[in-house]
Amino acid sequence: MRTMAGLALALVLAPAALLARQAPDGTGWTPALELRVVSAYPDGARSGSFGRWKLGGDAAPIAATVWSGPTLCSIGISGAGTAAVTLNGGPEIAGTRTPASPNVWTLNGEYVGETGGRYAVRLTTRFERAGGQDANASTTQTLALREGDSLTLDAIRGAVDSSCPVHTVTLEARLVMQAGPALTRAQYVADLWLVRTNEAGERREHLVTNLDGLAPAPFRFSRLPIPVSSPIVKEANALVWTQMAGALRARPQPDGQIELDLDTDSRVFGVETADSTWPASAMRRKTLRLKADETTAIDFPAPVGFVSLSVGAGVERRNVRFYTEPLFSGQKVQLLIRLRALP
Amino acid sequence: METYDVISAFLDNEPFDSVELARALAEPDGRELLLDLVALRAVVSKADPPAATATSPANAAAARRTGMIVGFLAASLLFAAAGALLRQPARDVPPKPDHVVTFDVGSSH
Repeated sequence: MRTMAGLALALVLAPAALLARQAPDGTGWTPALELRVVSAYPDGARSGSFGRWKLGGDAAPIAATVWSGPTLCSIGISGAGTAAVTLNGGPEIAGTRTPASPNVWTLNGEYVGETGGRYAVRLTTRFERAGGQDANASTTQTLALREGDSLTLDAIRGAVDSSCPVHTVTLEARLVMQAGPALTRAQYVADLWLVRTNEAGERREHLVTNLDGLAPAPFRFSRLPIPVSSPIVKEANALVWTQMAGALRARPQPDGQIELDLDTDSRVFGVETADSTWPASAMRRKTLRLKADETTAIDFPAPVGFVSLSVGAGVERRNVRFYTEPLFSGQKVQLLIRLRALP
Repeated sequence: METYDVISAFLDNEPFDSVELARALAEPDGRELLLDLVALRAVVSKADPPAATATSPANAAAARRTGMIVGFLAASLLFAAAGALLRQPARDVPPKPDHVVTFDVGSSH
């Protein structure tokens, strides 16, 4: 009876997890390189054309040509895997490239491989014509991108006139991950607990957010000041704190596990003065592989370094290099994550 | 014995360790399991009515006594579990982690 009850309970409690494991096409996530042609309008940037190429396997080679019409409001793109679209108020599509096209830019590339979640592509870009003149300057570079990484490859510039307000068109590469609907439609509830421990005790915060296989979900915990007794820090009127902010990106796998990107701001431990904040803000990523209903704890070690503090007043004002270890000694920051699958 | 097997043993009228039962019911997951198992048994008992049998008056009285005792015990446990749930903000207490990793950029768990 006990075994039967346990089995029945498992069937009652875990239907969502079982659903998430079913991948009708049997495939997982595939990396793809995206080329975006972005026109800079006075009221913001708009993407009007794009190309997308799957990486690896028997995927088509990366190849695209982008050209402009008489002004940068008219942009054309061609090549296998490219598509020209006109967004609301976006640049007109220049139907065909002609010898008179003032700007012609080409992209060719190949997939090199994957290491540690970074997908390497070797890209060669070249201006055949620029500003109405023939050109032949090419650049070859190898990019190693993670999902969501984006960088500008080149820019086309033109004069602003009364008929077109676009001065610059940028050509941007972006790494995206693609999967079938069974994986991208999976939904989860993410429980996040931030546990901060020091000599004064333990402080806990709990956040709940929803996740799916389509896009990252941001999160932010409160900033917690750390009392500091150092006379130099007090004289510099510096604030010392811990804070956790970032985003979660879930990629459900066909085997039922979940690949989770945890992006966090580098300023988990920080020092702020009137002049600056240490360390500089930068997003860091850790990729976890976990199962639904399991809890994973991530420890964030205190940073090692020094911060420059301004002390004194008037002519006696000076900068003092202050090592950060004493500031964060005894501080422990741990983030716990648990995902629950939704039916 | 697994942590929560003691709850199942208690509900199945099998031998169990009362200290272990108290420990299991002190955890939110244990209380949740108890409620799930009680609900599951209710569903099973409705779907599977007992066969009609000839019962003597003495056996019927004994069965009533046993039923009353089990009912009293179950009600006491449910009351205690509900009280414990009301006393503590369970969602603010993180569960025990299955894995602990360090945020060292560039590696995967």
